[in-house]
Amino acid sequence: MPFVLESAAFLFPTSEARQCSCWHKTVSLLVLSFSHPHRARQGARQSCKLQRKPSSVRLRPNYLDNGNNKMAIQQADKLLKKHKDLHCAKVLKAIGLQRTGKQEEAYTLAQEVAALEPTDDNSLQALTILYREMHRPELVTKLYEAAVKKVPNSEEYHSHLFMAYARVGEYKKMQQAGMALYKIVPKNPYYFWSVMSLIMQSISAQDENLSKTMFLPLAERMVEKMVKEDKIEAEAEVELYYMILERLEKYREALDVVRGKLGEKLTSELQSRENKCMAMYKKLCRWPECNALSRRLLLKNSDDWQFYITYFDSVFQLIDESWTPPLEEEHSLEGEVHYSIEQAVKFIEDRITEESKSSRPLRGPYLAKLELIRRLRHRGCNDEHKLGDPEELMFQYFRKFGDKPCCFTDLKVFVDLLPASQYTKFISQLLEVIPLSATAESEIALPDDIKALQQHLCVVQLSRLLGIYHAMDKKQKLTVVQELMLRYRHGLEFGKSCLKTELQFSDYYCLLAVHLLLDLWLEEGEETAVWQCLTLLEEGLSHSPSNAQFKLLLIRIYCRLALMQNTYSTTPSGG
Amino acid sequence: GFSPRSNLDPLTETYGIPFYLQYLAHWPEYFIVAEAPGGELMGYIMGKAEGSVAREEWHGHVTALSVAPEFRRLGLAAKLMELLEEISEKKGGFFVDLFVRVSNQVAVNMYKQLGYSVYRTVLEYYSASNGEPDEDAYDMRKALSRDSEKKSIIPLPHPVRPEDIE
Repeated sequence: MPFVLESAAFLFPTSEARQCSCWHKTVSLLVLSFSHPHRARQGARQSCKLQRKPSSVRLRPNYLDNGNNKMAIQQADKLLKKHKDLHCAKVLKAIGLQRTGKQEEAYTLAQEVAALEPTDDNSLQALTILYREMHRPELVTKLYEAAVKKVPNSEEYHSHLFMAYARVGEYKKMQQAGMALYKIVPKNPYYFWSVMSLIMQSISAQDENLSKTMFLPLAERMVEKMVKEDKIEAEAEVELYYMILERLEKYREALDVVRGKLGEKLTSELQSRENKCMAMYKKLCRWPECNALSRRLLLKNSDDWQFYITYFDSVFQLIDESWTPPLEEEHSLEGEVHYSIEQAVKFIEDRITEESKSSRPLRGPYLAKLELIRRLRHRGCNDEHKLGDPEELMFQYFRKFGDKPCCFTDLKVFVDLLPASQYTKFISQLLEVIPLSATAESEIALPDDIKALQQHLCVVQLSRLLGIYHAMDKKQKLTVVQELMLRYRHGLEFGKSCLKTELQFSDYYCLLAVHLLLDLWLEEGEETAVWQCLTLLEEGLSHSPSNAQFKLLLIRIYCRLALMQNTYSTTPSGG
Repeated sequence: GFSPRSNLDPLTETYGIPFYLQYLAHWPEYFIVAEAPGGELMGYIMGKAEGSVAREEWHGHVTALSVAPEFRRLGLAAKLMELLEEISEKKGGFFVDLFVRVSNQVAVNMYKQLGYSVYRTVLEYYSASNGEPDEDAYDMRKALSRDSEKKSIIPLPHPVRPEDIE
């Protein structure tokens, strides 16, 4: 069929089209070229290797692929003159029309073909592409519904139908399509697509009762059937089973699945089984297991904060329940349990001891100690256990980690443990241990290296957090602003070799100065402050072109000022 | 996957939502996020596994790795890479690879310290947004235990183009 080859030839470059003579392959590659031009070319290369027959085809470049819609339409028209019912040509023309903005014409033409309920793969694929570009996914469902009626045993068309339903969220129809597929070819994925569709119905059901009493139980029975017949294959199937049981609040059963043979398939995600078990222990309030498991996981990684929380939660639950270990059995399914404060204290102290040996200690254990103090205080029994004062521990934490940017965000979590009367003293204490030296030029003691700068920055941030600047009067605040900017400019020295994409080490000084000025503007009506903000931010941006915080602040301030401008211009009196 | 602080870093690529969703759907195990005690997002890593087992090209790939400025110098990037490598080992991968801008010296050095080496250069891999020329990428690799003879990391003698990548 030379004319088809001619039209197909506007698919590939010269040499490949020359060699392709397989009708089916070329037209399917034609269709493929719209959605996946790269794969189409690869496919062309492959089919060329298979069939090296000469052809008398005239060769043209790939018009639609190159966005040359007008040429594509012309080519299609030429074809249609000779064979006016050529479905594929009509659809390709429709795609060309759609891409040149002629939606109505494209739609009408496409529907001419769709009305005939085509069952050839190429027309179906071409129409799918067209409908996708028109953002009309529901038309694809109609297309494949008709196709499967005519070709009821087509695995491929049922598959496409399932996908079409998925795009429009028709969960019930997805469920049915999945089972229809399974009847044609009993592959597990098809069965479980149906199961998943039931879960989606349960999630989207308006009536919550329906979820729990109909959809989920049905899904559960479907999976149980496969389990009984020993037909479970993939990890995803086990994940789905767990999901159903969890949603049914059948936590015991879910736990059994994870801990049992099926759970062995849960291999992709790190600590998948442990995480799922932990979730179930919590739901079931099985505090011995919660404690034992979190204890074990902390021994593996003493920086995993979530498990400190679980460890503490469970210890205190066990204490409140007056739990004691059984005389002869294992403490719990997960091993040894800690059920007293003494044990918890020792556990945390041991973790700290371990970390202090490392050249690069993890922060977790140190912060965990502070968290423990918080818990004990809450229960009114901190003093007995002699864990020390939070101020002292936070001071020691600062000594260890003060040169890291995260020190501030870490300590921020625990400042509520500090009594307000101690704030100033605490800040002074921190400042004392930072190596700063006053120079001849400045009375202010400045850092000699980046580490000292970062430590000082941490203290400045803490000062703001603790409200020390807030308590100052206007004059004092302005003095602080001056000092911060001096420090900012001095700190630029350390960042001379920073790349354009890196932030300056002293940027936060500038930011804090700006925030202080903003306080003055917004809280005390200091008009001049905002103009100084803009100047400082622009200065900061000139040294740190990538600093998003500078940019965001500038945008916010400019917007606010623009709004005020509008107000001024609309009120005749100007105020 | 989109983290406010780390994605505002100029060297962190920000993709469209469908891209992130595709990764979440297909390779959720590789999508790992680190959270600080105060709840802040410290950083994240995204990856996938692909390639032919028969050709010994089945491997883990680092698609994106980013740490927020406030949480740098804690070894977090190294930790996230370690996790991705562990997952790739479990899947039987031969190696882990990643693409990085040739100009991103900081990242290139970091990966070298983590045991990665330059396998090949991919010309004009990164398309520029604002009329600037496209940038080349280093394809860096680290052999996993399944590649006992470390064949996968023998560098190519010549650069390649994006179309030539599988």
